[in-house]
Amino acid sequence: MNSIVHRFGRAVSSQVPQNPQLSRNILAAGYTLSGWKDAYFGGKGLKGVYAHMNAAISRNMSHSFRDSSRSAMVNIFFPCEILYAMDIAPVFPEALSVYIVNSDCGEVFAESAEAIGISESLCSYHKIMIGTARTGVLPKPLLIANTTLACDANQLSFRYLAEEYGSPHFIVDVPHTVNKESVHYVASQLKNFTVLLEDLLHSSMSESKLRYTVDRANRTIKAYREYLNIRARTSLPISMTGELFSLVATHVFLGTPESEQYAIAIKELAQKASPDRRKKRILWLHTLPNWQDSIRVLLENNERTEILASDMTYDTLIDMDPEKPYESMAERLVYNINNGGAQRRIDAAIAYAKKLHADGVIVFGQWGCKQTMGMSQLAKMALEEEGFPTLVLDGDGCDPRNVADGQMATRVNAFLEQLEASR
Amino acid sequence: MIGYTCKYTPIELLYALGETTELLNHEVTDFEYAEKWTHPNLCCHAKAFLLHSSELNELVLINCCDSIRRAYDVLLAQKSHRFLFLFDLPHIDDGCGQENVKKELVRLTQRYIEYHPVSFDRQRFLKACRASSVSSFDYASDAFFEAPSEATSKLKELDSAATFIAIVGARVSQELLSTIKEKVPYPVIDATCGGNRHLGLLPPNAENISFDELMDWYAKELLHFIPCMRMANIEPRRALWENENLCGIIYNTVKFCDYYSFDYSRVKKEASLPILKIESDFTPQTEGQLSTRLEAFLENIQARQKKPQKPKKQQLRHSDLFGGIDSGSTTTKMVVIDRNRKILASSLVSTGAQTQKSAQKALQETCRQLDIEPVDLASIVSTGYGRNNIAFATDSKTEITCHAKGAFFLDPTIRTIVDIGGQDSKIIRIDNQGSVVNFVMNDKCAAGTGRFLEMMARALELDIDNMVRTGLAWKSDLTISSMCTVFAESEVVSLIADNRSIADIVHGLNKSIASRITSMISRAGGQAPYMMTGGVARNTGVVRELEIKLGERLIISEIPELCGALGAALSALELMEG
Ligand code: SF4
Ligand code: SF4
Ligand code: SF4
Repeated sequence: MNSIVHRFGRAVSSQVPQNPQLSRNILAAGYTLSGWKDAYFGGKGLKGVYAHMNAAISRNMSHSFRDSSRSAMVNIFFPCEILYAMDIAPVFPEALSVYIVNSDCGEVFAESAEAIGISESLCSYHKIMIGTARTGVLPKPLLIANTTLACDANQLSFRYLAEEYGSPHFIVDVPHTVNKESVHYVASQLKNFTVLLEDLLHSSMSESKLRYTVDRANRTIKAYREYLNIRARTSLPISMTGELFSLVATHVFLGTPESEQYAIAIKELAQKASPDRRKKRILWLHTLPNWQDSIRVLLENNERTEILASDMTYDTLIDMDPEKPYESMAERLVYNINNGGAQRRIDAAIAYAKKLHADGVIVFGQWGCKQTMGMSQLAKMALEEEGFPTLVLDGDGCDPRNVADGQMATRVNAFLEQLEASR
Repeated sequence: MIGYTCKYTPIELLYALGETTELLNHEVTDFEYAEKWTHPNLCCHAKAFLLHSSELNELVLINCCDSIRRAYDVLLAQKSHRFLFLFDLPHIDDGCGQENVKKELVRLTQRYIEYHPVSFDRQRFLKACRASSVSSFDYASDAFFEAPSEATSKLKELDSAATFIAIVGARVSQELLSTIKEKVPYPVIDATCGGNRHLGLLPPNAENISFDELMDWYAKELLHFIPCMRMANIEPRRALWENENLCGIIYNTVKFCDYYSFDYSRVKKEASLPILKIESDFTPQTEGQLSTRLEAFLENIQARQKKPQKPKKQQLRHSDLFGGIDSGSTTTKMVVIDRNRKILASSLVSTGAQTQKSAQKALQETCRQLDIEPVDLASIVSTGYGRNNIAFATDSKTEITCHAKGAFFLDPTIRTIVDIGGQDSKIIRIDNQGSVVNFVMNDKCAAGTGRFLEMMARALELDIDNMVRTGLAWKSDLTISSMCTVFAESEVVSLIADNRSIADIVHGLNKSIASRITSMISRAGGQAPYMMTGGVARNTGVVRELEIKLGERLIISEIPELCGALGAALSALELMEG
């Protein structure tokens, strides 16, 4: 990590205990400038596409630190089309924690959560989010809302935060059973959520605006699906941070113009790109440790290998119907590959590994993520049976304290050597 | 026989289908089997369950948490169970939730009948429901269904008991539950996942209404259990700690279970009862660890008067000398005081393989200093890890009580004791009378103990004294980010390889241990003034970092290692004074 980032992180950390307001301002200013990760700026091609998304997320971050009265704290799977249709901005732990760790000030927040007895084995994304709230750095949002998809952490940390802030809290209960009845159940809850929002904002939802937003979400999904189809035949130097941008574009940002532009732009880039037979093609399951230089060196921007996609980006690329906005959003939750048992996620991994012509698969065991770690061995067995060598790589996407950096790099390297040997 | 793990399992319905049920809540000796199929960081109960699940051919699981869902996925892939059902429990307990539970009840009935052609026996169902409406806390077993009067009498027993203790939190294994029941002189109820189910009264026309209507009632009742942390609305959990006959709470956590760490902070805040937090991992507990904690807890609720421990030996002599011996895992310490609480002699020897021998040595050494015979001591109280193995002690007290007593005597202004010993560390909060208000102990894991420093010193090829001295001369501020000893060690090795100075690395390590301790302090709700005791109190490097982290000065007496032994000697004096 470069020294400017390091200094920025220290400036934030040192102010946290005594002066949350000041560190909040430093963070907000940092994210507004958002030029500190200059690697992504001013570039053409993929770098330019990433730069726009980075800017959009940074705006979202600084907004949530500055004017929280029009922000809702949500989990990554929450259907935010409803929020955009009411001009509310989402804050979500993955982005928050990732940005914080990349500003090198995560430790103070994670420790603050552990100090009140939150278990060390909780998913770090959530732990850091709790820390930012507890230290008073992240201000009180208008409301807190989460789905029970895909993990327990949602249930726990959002409820805790709602109590801590005294904010209204809404839970969308997504049944484990994948069928039409579950879709109806979820759709009716989403309608109730709209009613809650209308009450809080003293204004009513414009159905046409919602339809419009869902329509845009649908176009984005289509474009991203096409991108993945083209990707099967081409090579692109995508980065781990880039995949996180894609994750945001296909989830919380779905329905925004930025996410549509992103999907179209990355599709057009893929169309222009050519194949590169020398590179080993890696399908990645779950989140990515983009802060970790040792792993980035091995997987990004080199002659040896490229990441094809993280399975979080394609977990529900199904069509949406603007005429049935609530049912469409509900379908995306119920039919998500993370719902209804590990086999669905594993089947999707096999299908995409085939479709994208992967040479190998990495299952990233995010610290605390029982649902991914719990299926890692099953996934490895199934994928290897289909002929895809698979590495289960334990790590942490946002808390370096849980990581044995050198050991991880060695494992990735050995895996790449294994793939190369089988050429 | 159908195996199940969760109180929300509709065991009355299974009974009505002619089945018997068994709660699978047992410990295992290792997790090798589960880790082959899943991952080491799955919750320990789920891992233990995976092994035990093979004992039965039929299982009904509840879609409880990520760990259980994944355990189910593994069983599904193994295809080794004849009947395997995952009940999709909603998180919400409103009308829609009830509707979903009912659908699941119907689905379960259909699936079971397809598997094993039987019919729903209404009389058996009603009988089981009646039994479950009287037995509330102990887990409902078929024996209860067969003989409801037994259940009623158990409940009466509980009702008439003046006070009882509840185990709250994450599920407690059957083995741990029985150990606790043995050791605690009060009725103990299991209010975790295995027990704590109570059905309301049957509808008046239960004999005649349709199956569907009966399931409507049953679904509603199941969702009206005192909720676990999985449910969205956890307000009714208050009932668990707001019972006026409750005299103490044993709060259980399971390693790698996240649900209950959130609950614990709340219970601690809201319940004004003594709470003992235990960390279990579904392997056999070390007796010693558990006993120390339970004893301290019972001392805390003054249970000791009710079930007095017999003094070990009637060798009390009337003299003016009182001994306290602290048998720790690395060193054994002894202090002798007189009636005016003045310290007359002390000794410190390292604890060898035999506790008893080291204790003898410490005793002889103090006696030598005073030129007396051991029999001249009026009474001796033992404390510490090996306190129960010291034959010459008159009585024993836990190190929590003794440390608090010793430290309060040395300086009555202090409110928090930070004791960092060789193998374990503890934070004890006391009030202005010197009584223990709360304590947190760290065991099993070396991080945050003297052992951590020793291991790191070894990695740096220094001895401890040298390490302390070297560390004071640090220049550039470096952070060791790993909390785990194993990771930290490899981090140290790579820092050495990076040519970082040893002084800077030692300083980094000191910071790391300080931050570990600070988080324990805040977990215990520590308040200034602080006193630091234990051998590590002599390590100026750690002390300095800890002071910076806390923003407070630490009071350190001249005899930081002897605090526990002093407390024990004071107890010995009190024993004689009655
Ligand atoms: S990483 Fe896993 S545990 Fe953490 S928020 Fe994502 S799905 Fe949940
Ligand atoms: S946490 Fe709740 S759902 Fe899970 S096993 Fe315990 S009682 Fe059942
Ligand atoms: S102990 Fe916790 S993680 Fe384990 S099964 Fe129970 S609720 Fe789930």
